[in-house]
Amino acid sequence: MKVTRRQFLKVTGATAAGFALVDLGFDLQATASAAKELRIKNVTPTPTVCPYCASGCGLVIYAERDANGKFVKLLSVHGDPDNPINQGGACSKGAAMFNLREIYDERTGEQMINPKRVQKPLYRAPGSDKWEEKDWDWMLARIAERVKETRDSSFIHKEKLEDGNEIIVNRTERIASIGGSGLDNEECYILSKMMRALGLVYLETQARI
Amino acid sequence: MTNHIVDLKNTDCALIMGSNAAENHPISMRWLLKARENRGAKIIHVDPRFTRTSARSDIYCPMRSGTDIAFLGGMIKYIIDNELYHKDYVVNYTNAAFLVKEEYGFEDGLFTGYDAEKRKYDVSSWDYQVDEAGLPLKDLSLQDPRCVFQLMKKHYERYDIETVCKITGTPKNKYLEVLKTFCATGAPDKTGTIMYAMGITQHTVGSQNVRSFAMVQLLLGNMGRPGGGVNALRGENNVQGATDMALLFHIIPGYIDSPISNAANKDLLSFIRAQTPGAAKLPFTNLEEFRALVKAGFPNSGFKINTSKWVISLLKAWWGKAATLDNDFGYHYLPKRDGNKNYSHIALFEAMHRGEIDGLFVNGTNPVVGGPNANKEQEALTKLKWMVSVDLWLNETADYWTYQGWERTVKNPDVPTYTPADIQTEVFFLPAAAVYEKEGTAAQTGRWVQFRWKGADPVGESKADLWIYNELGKRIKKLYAGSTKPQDEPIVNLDWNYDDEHGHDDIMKVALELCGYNVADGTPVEGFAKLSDDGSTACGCWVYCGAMTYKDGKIIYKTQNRDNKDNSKTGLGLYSNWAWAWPMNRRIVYNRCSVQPDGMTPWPGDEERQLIRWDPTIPADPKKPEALGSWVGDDVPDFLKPTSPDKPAFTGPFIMRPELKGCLFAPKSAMKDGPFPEHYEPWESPTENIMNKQNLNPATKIWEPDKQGTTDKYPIIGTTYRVVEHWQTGALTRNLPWLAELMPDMMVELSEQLAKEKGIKNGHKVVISTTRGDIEAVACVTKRFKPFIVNGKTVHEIGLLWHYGFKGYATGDPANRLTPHIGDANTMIPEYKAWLCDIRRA
Ligand code: SF4
Repeated sequence: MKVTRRQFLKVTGATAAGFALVDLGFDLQATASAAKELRIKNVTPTPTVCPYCASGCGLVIYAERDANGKFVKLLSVHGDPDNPINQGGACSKGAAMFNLREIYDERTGEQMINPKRVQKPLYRAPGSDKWEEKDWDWMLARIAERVKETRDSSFIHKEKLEDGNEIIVNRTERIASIGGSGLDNEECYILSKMMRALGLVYLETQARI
Repeated sequence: MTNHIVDLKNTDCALIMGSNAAENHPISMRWLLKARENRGAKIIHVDPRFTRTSARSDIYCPMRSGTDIAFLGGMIKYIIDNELYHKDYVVNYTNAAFLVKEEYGFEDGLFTGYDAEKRKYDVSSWDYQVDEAGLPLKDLSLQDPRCVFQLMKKHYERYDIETVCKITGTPKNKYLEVLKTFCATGAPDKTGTIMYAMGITQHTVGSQNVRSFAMVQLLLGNMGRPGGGVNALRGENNVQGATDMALLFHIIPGYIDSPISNAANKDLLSFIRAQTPGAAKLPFTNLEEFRALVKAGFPNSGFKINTSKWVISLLKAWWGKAATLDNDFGYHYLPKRDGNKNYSHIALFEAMHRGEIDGLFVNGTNPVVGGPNANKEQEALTKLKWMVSVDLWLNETADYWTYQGWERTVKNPDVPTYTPADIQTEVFFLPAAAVYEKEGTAAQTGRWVQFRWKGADPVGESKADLWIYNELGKRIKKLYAGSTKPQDEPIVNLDWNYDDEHGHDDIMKVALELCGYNVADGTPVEGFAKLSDDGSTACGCWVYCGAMTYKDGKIIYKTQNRDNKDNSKTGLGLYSNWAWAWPMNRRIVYNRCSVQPDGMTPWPGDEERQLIRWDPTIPADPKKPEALGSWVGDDVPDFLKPTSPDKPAFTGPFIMRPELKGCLFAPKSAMKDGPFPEHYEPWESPTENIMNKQNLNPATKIWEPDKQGTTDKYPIIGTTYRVVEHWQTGALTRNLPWLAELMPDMMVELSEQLAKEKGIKNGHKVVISTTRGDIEAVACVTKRFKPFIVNGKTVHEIGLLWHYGFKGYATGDPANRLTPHIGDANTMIPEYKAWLCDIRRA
């Protein structure tokens, strides 16, 4: 089953602002009973929640797996009929979530990973005009060093108050962190915890903007 | 949202203002249309532009951007003048009857206590009159000239329909139609909902805009009832959760103020004193004495009397064994900010621009497209020594240093240009897994925390953010291991154990810490009422406490609940067994208001929408069968329990307020810019303020006085908005071929009249300019914008798409190169929605 951009346009374009159950011609209805049958065919339906607007529509990821249960590729993404918020519907963004990972080549129709996705850590040296691929170890080690350098050279441990007393403030104002509203709660939580342990006060997320 | 998405089906009338729900939150519209179908509900849309939401509404009412308080102030006056308020509700559930200090006053657009030099208010006069016990004085007849109700009536006397419409540019007959239709929900058997989004908040008066909503809804008796509420349609899938986890400078998790470097925050006890309302003058010198006072229930505290439990449990979650009574549970490990400084988004980029920030983490956000005054914010990035970007793709911020990043379609000598060689920032890009390539929870706009399971493997070497930050945390801890410097203790002692037995990050470990566990045995704490302040519980964010439970030897994360039967008897669609809602799985907050003050009688004619009820025949606690009386119902009661009809808390629905009442008057430091919302013009406005003598919100900080555009050069109002095919800065949509093709170009919408004046035709390339820069866009000439008549003069408004940048399949100039660096007096959210510009053919 291939959905080209044109087909997607046809089915979602007309109803973009409305809220219709988007039917991409996938002949299996996403119901609980159908899901059971799908599993036998090494197709796993997995419920997730839309990453776009905060309405929280449920979506089901249909994936093909090999005999050992290893993920092979996406088959489709549908509104989750069980989720009471959207009861199976999805707007054009939710319905396009398939593309976050995989796309169909315009000319050949071949299914492939979205080429815009970055698959390796990338490093840009000061003054350079290109990215270089690096491994995770190298990147994380170097970032940790940068954090330590900046923190240690800018750290304010104590401050004098107006009344003459000292107060421990444990902060650095030379490191900042922004974003996070697209992360999961658990991720936001450890991010918040780590940044504050480092002494960050410039800590902001999209709620502010 | 005080209510939730499905609950929209229970409304009798929806007022949508500052939101294009049909386009940006399409599913919400579906439930509203159900309300219309099943209950005959009316839908009202108030917006500068006729949108897809207007097309689905019964009434469309135009209003100039930035004049919401005039519009809503007029509504408050209309409700009072015509006695349309819900009297019993107002007297019992709001502070309408409270007497306000004689010193409080308002004149010429200024409230008492203004310091013009600092652009700040001394708020001490904005307070209640109190008796000897410190309890507010009241006049339940609402007649005393110093009672909130009378002061409010006087304040909004000036907001007559004539004046309002002169300011807002709304046709009078349309305005009246809106007033009549929405204010009819003041009848006890009716409820009305207000839905809003960034069209309300992104103003220098954004917080007071929302306050105005709250006042209207309190007057009409619409809070805490199905089909009612003040409902923010939030824009990012987990912006609610990110806020709960306090990825914001001014709070720590669970909405507790972040500590400040001052005497009031000098140690844990002082901090608790400062954070617990009513504790300021109480006699205690240690936690034990404080606990005794809490147990006795000192006055004026509300639910925040529990703050010490939330703070100490948080400290235990972060510093584990190292957090003990002797070291103030590690309180000093928390950074203390400078109380005279602001660290919010605009301030952060201003500081970066001055070269005061060396390192930046960017987590799935894109200020080069989405930041206000984006030219300046991009230039600020060049001052960084290092930047870490975590994202799925190289968005405009990750790639800001490239040649492409500095190309401008319209040249402007004031906008700097750089080449990569000029930029010395070391940039680290960490590829992140997409939402369904990992697992975790997200809090949607109605506070439902839903689990998302992993449905596919991450592409290539991309990793979940949880893995990334867990690994980075481990490495940073390793670098500091063995340090004996006191300043390194917060890291050395940090409890950071999220690996399972195989050394992989274990999300359930994080979730357990976040939701709370008993230190002794590691079992989940079953709800925040069970948190303690003696170090025996650890909880990363108290509002999530109760989301985990222990059953048959297994930990259950209730966010994974998938029973989708509606548990409410009258079909209200609470779905309490689907996922979990904070706090305590409560689906509609302030739900005490859904029943009359006696706790038993539903509002007349509204039996079906009663959420909870007091049953005097059954005991609340089976162990104390003699104490009869308990709260029962379909939703989880949202107020102080246990209680009995003779206690003040029995009729106190708003537990996070010390007075337990909805605030028509916002006392003391609740707001920085006044206890009542007052109309001020946007920073850049085409007109003088005719409501009072202040043009701009007097408490707003002005960052760039020289960048204020004026009508001689920039006579047109500019605003920004989104379309259904794209999302925010477009990183997650312009990189998707299907969506890029649906909406491929940056466009600007303008009226036929303005187009004619400027010689612009549909499809023309046009240039839009402000003092901050210029951009190019495709003109879309429509009937959806109409010129406004403001103070007798014709004023044009144009609208720009928010989403574009130079990366992805669909590219275009970012609208935010035009928007100003100025924000709301309370929250500092930028004024993206009303500024001055000009437009011409390219
Ligand atoms: S599918 Fe559309 S309406 Fe539903 S959450 Fe996603 S973006 Fe929002």
